[in-house]
This record gives sequence, C-alpha cells and structure tokens, in this order.
Amino acid sequence: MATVKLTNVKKQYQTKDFPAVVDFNLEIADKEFVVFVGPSGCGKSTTLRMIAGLEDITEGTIEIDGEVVNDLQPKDRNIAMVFQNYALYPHLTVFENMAFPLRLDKKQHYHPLNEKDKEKVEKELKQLKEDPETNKEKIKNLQELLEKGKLGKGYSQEEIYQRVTNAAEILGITEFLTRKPRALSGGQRQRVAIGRAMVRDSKVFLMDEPLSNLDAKLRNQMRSEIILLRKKIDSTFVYVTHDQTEAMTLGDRIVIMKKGYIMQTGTPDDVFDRPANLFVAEFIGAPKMNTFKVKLERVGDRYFVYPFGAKIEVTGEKAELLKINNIQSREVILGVRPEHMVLQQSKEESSIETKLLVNEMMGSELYLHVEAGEESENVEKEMEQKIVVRVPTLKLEKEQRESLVYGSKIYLTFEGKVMHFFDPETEKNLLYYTEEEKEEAAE
Amino acid sequence: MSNKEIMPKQKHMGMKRKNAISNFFIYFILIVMVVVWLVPFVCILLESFRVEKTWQVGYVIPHEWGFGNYVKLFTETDFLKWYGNTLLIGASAAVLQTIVVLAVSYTLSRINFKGRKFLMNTCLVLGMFPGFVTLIVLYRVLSDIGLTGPNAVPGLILIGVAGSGMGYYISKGYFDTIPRSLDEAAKVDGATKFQIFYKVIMPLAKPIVIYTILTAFMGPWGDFMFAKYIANGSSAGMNVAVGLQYMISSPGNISKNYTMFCAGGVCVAIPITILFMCLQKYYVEGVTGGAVKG
Repeated sequence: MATVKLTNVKKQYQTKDFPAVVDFNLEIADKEFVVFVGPSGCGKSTTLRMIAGLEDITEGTIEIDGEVVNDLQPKDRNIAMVFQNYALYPHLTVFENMAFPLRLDKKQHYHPLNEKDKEKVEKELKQLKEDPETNKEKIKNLQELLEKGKLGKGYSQEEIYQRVTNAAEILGITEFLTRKPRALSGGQRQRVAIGRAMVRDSKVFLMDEPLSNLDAKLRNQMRSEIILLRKKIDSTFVYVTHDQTEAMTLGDRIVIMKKGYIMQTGTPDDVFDRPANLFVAEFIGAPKMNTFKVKLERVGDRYFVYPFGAKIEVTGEKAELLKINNIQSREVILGVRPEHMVLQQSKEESSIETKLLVNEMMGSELYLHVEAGEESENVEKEMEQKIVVRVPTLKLEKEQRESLVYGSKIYLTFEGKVMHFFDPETEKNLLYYTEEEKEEAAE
Repeated sequence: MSNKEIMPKQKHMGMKRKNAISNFFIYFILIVMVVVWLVPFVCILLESFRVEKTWQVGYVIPHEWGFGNYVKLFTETDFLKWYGNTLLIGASAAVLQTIVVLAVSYTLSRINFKGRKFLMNTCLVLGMFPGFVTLIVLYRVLSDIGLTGPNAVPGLILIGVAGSGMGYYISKGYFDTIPRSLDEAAKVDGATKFQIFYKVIMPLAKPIVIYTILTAFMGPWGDFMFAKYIANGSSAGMNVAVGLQYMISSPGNISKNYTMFCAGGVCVAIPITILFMCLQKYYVEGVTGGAVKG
C-alpha cells in the first residue's frame, strides 16, 4: 500500500541558471508502475532522486502514502532504489550485499512465528476457545499474533537468511551468494542490485536506468524479467529510462519529460496514439515519426492534406475528430509514423514521389529512408525532406525487394486514419479526443 | 644464401648483444647503488656487535663479537625510557593523526560546503612552509602550558596531531575514486552518515588507512629537531634520536659510547623495518591509489 504524490515540485541547483525540474505534478497510485522517460538532462533522474531523498526539494511537496516526506532522510522514507551502475558494495559477498539493508534496519517489524511457536499459540488458542466469552480479549490478541507475527526490533539472523535466499531464488542468483560482486557479470550484478532492493518490504521501488549498462541482448532479457518480477513483488514502481522501448513495454503509465517540464502523462497507448505535442510524437516510436509542414484544407465535411503536391484525404476517426474540433483550413504540422506509410505501385493523385537513399533490412521489416522529390511546384523550402518508411518484409515480393536500391523511385501515400496534426506555432496536438480534455486545455 | 635471409638474423643478433650490454650497465649501476646504500647500515650493525673497544676504529669487521653494547645500552643509560617515549609518541600520533586525516579528507571528498575550495587551497599553501618555521612559537606556547622539558612527550604528540589534517590530499584523492553511488545506495539502505563511513567506505579504503597510519607513525619516530628543542636537554623528555645524539654529544662521550650508539641505531631500525615489511603492499597501493580506480 503506497501512493506517491508530487505537488508543484521544483528543483533548482545553485550552480545552474535554469531549474532542473519545474512544476512537477503527479499522483502515482498504489502498485502502479510509472516510467519517467526523456532525453538526457530532462530532469527525470533528478525527480527520482528527490523522491528517494538524495536531492533536496527546492519547492513543492512529495508525499509517500499521504505523509509529506520533504524533510525525511532516505532511510525513513521506506523506499528501495536500484542504481544505474548497480552500486554494489565491492568488499561484501552477494549475500552480505543483499543482507546489508536488513542488518541496518532497527525499526519495529512484524516477524512471522516459527513452527514451534505457532504450534504453541494454536494450542493455547484451542484451550482458550473452550470458554470464548471470558477470554475474548486474549483470543483476539493471539489470533493477531498468528496472522501478523510478533512485533520486534530489526531482523534476526534466521529471518535475514530466509529473506535473502528467497529473493536470490526468485532472481536466480542462489549459486552466486558467496561470491564477491567483481566475480559477476553485468546482468548478475544487476540482479543482485534488484535483490538488495527486494529483501525489505519497501513501499516504493525506485529504479534509475537499471538496464542502460547492459548490452542490447541482455537488456531485452532483463526487461521481460522486470515485468515478471513486478508481478511477484506487487509494489509501487517508479522507473527512469531514456529508452522509449523500455518505457512503453514496462510502464502502466509513462511520464515524458523535456527540460524539466512534463510533456505528457498517460498510458503507453495514450502517448503513442494521442501524443499531446510534437515532442512526444517524435520521441515515442522508432524510427521517429515523419513530420511535414502542410496545408490542411476543409472542403465541406471532408479534409485533405497536400504533402509534396500529393492530395491525401483524412479518413476515419481522425476526420471525425477534425470535424468535432471544428478545424478550418489552415497550416499544420502533419505527423505520420513510418509504419503508416504505404507503398504504391504506380503514381496516383495521392502519391508522393520519392527517391530511395538507404534500405535497411531489419529482418521482419525493411526501413526505407527516402527523400521526397524537390521538383514539385508546391514544395516549401523548409519542409522536412527525408522520410522513413517501415514495410513488413512479408508484404513485398522478392523482385520488389531486390528493386529497392539506391536512387530507385518510390511512390508513397499515408493511411488517412492515422495522421496526427500539430499547431506549427505551439507544437501542440490540434485534436482533443474528449470533452474533458478540451475543457482542461481551455483552463 | 641470399642477403634477405641473412639480414634479419644479423639484426636479431645485434639486438641481443645490445640488450646484453645495456643490461650489464643497468645491473652494474644498480649494484653500485645498493652497495652505497647498504654500507652505512652494515657498518652500524657490525659496530654494534664490536666489544673490544668502545670508540671509532679504522676497520669494519669486529675483532671480538658480543652483545655487550646492547646490554649496556639498556642497563646503564635511559635508552629504555627514550624508546618508550618514542613509541608512545609514535603510537598516539598514529592513532590520533589517522582519525583526524581520514575525517578531514572524507569530509572534503564527500560533503560540499561553503568555503570548501578555499579551505583546501589554504591548507595546500600552508603545507608548503617548512615545519621548523614555527619551532620557536611552538616552544613558547608549549612551555607556557608546561609541556616542555621532562613533559615533552604530550607536547610532541600535540605537535604531531595538531596540523595533521592539512595532509589530507592523498587520502582525499583515494576517497574520490570510490563512487558516490555507494554512499547513496547505503543511504537508501538505511545507513547513517557514520555507518556509511565505517561500513562501506573504510573497508574499501584499507590501503589508504594503512598508509596514513604508517606515515603518522614514522614522522615522530624519526623526529629530531622538534624533539630536541622541546625536550630542552631533559633526559626524561627525550626520544630515541635525541637521546642517542645526547649520548655522543661531546668528544669524551663519543669515544666512550660510540659502539653503544650504534646498538641504539639498530634498535631504532628494527620496529620500523618489521612494520614496513608487513605493510609494504598496502603502502604502495595507498600512494598510487589516487591514480588507479579503487
């Protein structure tokens, strides 16, 4: 049971002119997995470190479980943290590394009873229950004892052993318990670091780019392991990464940050399908979204865009939304994801004529880097010239694939229902998907 | 055989010969250096076992061997007292100075406070003045509080410890190499500042701790100038170096006590030699630790 609430949090380093984090507002629900993501220097790690208590908060409040923790030491916040460089104690064995927080903990905890005591209490309870009326109070106490365990300071040796070996088993590092960290590989070290965070009953798990020191293959493996681990631990998680794939796959909710500001908060679906602004649209998704500065034209209830001289109709939900939002003809920044580009066999009214520059074979997909033709009359100078197209390899015939060489002509169009429209000035998404959003924005 | 086949072989031979010659010179120089270095030590050792005459003689190998000088040293002079004094000063300085130096350098390495840079620079500049510049002032102060003459021992401990924090830089350099995220991890794990220091940092800083203890011990162990001045001729306040010098300070004494003086020198060298032999590994790690990642 732990919620985290950040209200108007600001961080200003004395040595810097601009703040690292500005007006950060976020409520993290119990057992939620929230990911902070953004380019380096966006303030995501700083925010995490403020939650951990490793950085002072310049303004605002941070609450954990409803308690303001601004002035609490990290150890009193009941949090666990995994660091990017693992931060294992080199002089201690894996076991001692994981036992370290338990040995230091001298707070009151409930300790489960061992078998012998349990039997004893159960026996006593049985006796008392013969006369339930007079022993009401005692019965209640004993039942509580059975359920929660005994209240006592710190952890006993036995308990430490239990907890560490349990965590080690979950993480699959039992055989390394007697080794020193330097005898472990990167992935194993990361597991130990996670194990050290796991052994305590922490309210919140903080992870600061835990996978970025691993190689690509191991990173993918650990990512899925973290998803599984999360099911087992069932706690509140705050995870920081600069990798949008990690953010999308791990997070219940993603917070996208830029230069200290929150750009958008939402589920992976939200931020992918309904990016609040151009930055989010380009940051999420790989390769990044193609953008075109184009004219959007309203003809009655139909909408058309004119990229590089082509005429493409907006269809489906997007056309509806444009209508609902009452958008008139205007200049927009049009965003189309590479996978929503469509190859055409021959030139049509809706075709953009392009020249192939690079053909990247990714296995199941082809990434085509093309350049939009400059000969067209309607092309504006500032326009984004380069376009990336993602095509599933299976969709192409062998001869077709072989014809995709440098300089070959390619006709492209967009899927009309998956276009994104942004204001060229504010770079905000032009469309509001619900009435609530619209009201919120109006405020 | 063509030239091509011969040429490389010739070259190879030339290299080998060159190496042999340069090795010969290197070893020759090294041997000369070793001899130059060791001669005084060997002479003192031999002299200390010479019992036929007590004054300086024209030969090195004793005609009569014996432990007489050592026996006389411990029974007829205050040597034991001086030895005890020096041990006491050295040990106290080693303990206190280590605490001070480690505390200062850890603080300077980990805590960012106002005036930190200024403090560090000031210490560095002050450290460049030779210690004896303060000799007269120190004597004045110590004599005012009664820590000279026969009471020189606590006075010398005080001198040894008082300014020692200024020698922070080597250990600070070492602490700087220990990643800060270890401190932070320990902090999150529930350690207090002191627990971080002695449970995480200290075990990792073992070489530098030993280095600090060694240097702190050696300073007072070999000190002559301060010890002589502060003891001010009182035998009860002398350390070994001053005591031994006192033994041979006049021409009459030198012929009476010379071999005994040599025996004293050997006694002084023994503990420091043992200490170094045991801890040499850490000493080297400590000195070079600042450059290598810990």
